[in-house]
Amino acid sequence: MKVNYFPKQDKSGFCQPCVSVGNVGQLATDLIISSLNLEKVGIIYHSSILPVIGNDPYTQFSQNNCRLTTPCEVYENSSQDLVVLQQRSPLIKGKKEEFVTWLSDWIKENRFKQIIILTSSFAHERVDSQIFGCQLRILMSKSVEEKNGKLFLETLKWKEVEKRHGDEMTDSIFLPGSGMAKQLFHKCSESSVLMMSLFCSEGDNIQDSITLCNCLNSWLHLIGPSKNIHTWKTPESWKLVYGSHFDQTLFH
Amino acid sequence: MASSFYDGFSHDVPLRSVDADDDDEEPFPTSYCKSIICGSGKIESKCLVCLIATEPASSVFIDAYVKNKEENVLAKVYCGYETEDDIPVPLKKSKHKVCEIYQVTGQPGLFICQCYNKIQPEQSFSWVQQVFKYINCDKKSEIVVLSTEVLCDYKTDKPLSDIHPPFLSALYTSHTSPSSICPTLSQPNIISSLPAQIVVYCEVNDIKASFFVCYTDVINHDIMTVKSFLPILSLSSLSLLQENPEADKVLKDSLKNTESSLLYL
Repeated sequence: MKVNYFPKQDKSGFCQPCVSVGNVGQLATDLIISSLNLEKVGIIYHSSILPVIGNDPYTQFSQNNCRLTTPCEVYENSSQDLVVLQQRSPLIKGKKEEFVTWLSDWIKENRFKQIIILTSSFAHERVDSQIFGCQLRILMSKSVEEKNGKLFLETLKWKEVEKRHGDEMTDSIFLPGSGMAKQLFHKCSESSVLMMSLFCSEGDNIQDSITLCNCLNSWLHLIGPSKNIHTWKTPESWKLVYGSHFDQTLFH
Repeated sequence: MASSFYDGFSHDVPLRSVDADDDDEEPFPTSYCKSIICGSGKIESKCLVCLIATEPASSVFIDAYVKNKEENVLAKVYCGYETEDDIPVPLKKSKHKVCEIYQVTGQPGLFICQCYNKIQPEQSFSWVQQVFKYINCDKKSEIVVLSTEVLCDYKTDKPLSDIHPPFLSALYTSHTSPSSICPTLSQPNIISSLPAQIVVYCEVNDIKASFFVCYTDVINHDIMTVKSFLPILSLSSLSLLQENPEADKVLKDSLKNTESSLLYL
């Protein structure tokens, strides 16, 4: 394990996606990094993360330029009050607990003022009452509930993750497909932590990520209050994220 | 799981980024993710340059064009075992090639590492830690990594008629100047598994590393694919290597037993 980033102050907000259904959390994080022009300030190198590399996903380069992208990186805005961690590849099977423990310790060490976990959950697991209306579900730690509970639930009309019948005796949080979100939330629950999860299915999940970003923006006003899709700047790497275009000469 | 198709063969690929039930995670056996190096004791000289072939096609390239017949194996790397005693004796004695480390004759700082089989992504972390420690790599070292990928994984907005496989693309760590032998890998193409793990290790530890990937449209490596790595011999870091004069003969011999795809006869 190696981290080469240390926040310069303890006032930062911290945003962390989880590898989850449709990669919605990661796509939303890409949108935030790209739209706010966040700067890469560190790399997290951990034995639990599967390796992946590529060229810089946010900048269009000429043929011979390279800025390496690694599996887990830390980004920061110029005023240093927002720190975003982007995880680009899944965890090795069976090593989730190890990574979550390490990550939660790292988050606590850095004393982030507000922790936001972005994730998604299987749409096919919804019950009838969840099918219509806002597909966002939130989970708040005690301190967030005291400070912002009224804003989230009454003003922004967000809904808390519903309990399932029969689940009260075991674990009331039912978010299948949300990756390590639940475990990370529990480990950080003494801090100020908010988990935002969107019901979705695998496929083209770009619109889901925009929905998640819009929800976050309605609270934090990262890019202004507008809900216009075009206000989010899509990264260069999204151009062919669902594959190359087909050959037009096929139809000549 | 879903099937994807390329070159007429079906392959199972994971579609979902997560399992249906996140809580019932069955871990790999502890030894599965480990690698162990078996060979001569500690190497005295520090690694100045290391050329690493991460899969069979690039290993054949090194066999043909780079390696000298006199070079002896310093060590072998076995994946999936925690200690040397865990490795089955038949596997140790077997002529079946796994992953071998050489020191170039007359060039004590020049190492070659060849993987004759693909290393699993889960095993790559341990592999990199073991190998880089063994060859005494530090910030003064330069690493050149070779690999191949199938063309169907290459994403581009260029028309199909403008793509001529096999071709090379490159990625470099922060402290490495891009070379002119091939263009850099364009977005959103990504590389995973062992080559990615090596490059990430170098990036994190401020080691200069150049990574060259050959995109090919054949399943089993052929002469064209192997020869596509030839431009890397012009890299300044590899200038001490002497090209094997009998390279073409060695290449033909090494490819004799390779199964070829019927689609490309």
